[in-house]
Amino acid sequence: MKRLIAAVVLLILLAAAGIMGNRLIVSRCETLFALLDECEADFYAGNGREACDRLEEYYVRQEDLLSAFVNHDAVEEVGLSIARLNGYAGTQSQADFAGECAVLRARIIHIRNQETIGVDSLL
Amino acid sequence: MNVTLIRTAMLYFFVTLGIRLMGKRQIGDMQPNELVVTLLISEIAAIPLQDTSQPVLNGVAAIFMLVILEIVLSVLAMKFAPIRKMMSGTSVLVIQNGVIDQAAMRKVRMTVIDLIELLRGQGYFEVDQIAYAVLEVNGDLSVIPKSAYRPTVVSDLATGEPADEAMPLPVISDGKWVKDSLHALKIDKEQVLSQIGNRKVTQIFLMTLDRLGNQWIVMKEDAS
Repeated sequence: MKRLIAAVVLLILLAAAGIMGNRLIVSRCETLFALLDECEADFYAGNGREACDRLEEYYVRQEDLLSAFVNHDAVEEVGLSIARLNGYAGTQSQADFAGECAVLRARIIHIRNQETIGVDSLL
Repeated sequence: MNVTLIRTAMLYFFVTLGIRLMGKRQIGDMQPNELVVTLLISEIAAIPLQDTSQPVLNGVAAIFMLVILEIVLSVLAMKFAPIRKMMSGTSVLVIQNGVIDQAAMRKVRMTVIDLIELLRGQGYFEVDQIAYAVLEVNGDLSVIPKSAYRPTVVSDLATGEPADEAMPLPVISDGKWVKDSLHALKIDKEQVLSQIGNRKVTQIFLMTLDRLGNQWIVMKEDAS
């Protein structure tokens, strides 16, 4: 009976950690999308640098927390992508900026989908 | 390297905690599902050790999920015989009164060479010396020799001749009937009920019977 109680307690803790992790990843991804949209809008308006700096600062703050739940390579790739985006925003290179935005979106979607229960994540 | 060292210590702690919660036995005594879980835990623990890009939390969560499933299934197996049968299988009588049950051997996919090897391991070199031989779920062979071939016991000296051999089977286990044993002994529930008197089946923790009518009853602690 003691083992069963321990198993139930453990299950509750795991469920709580899973739900918390899922919500954290989804909310951070949504924020990243919002900041990326801001960055893109400001870039095409002629001043993308500040918005991209905000995106980078936000991501640096969230990186450690995300690394607890997400594959570290995936987290680092997003960080590198944001850094490159910042670089392209500075040089005003539209083609490179647009390409990197698309890549960054895809990477964030990949991280979010990994934590979402679906056919691709389960199988 | 420091990261690897700390991760190793963390995973060692969590794996030990998980194994301790499951209440592990020796490898040779494990049921098949227990062996599978133990092997899986070791494989899962190795992943975050070797690949530092994998979050430790993922490995720990997977290990604990296996522990939870194992504990829940073992509790269900303890309470429900069909689940126990599905997970662990059942023991099979392969020799009775010196005769090999060939159908039973086919059922457990055992060759006669395997059987003879196991008998030799028990110290018996001829099949017709064996009264009963049961292949247990963990692969061991339990043997009751014929009375003429077993060592003398004190009760033999009292009677002057060896007692007939008989294999007791559990007919009531944890308050429930064991139908396989009733079938093997060729008796029905009414015959058993007449032997237990006023006691209720649900109050009996264990009752064994053999073909000679010898019975042994253990009542449940809260019933006696």
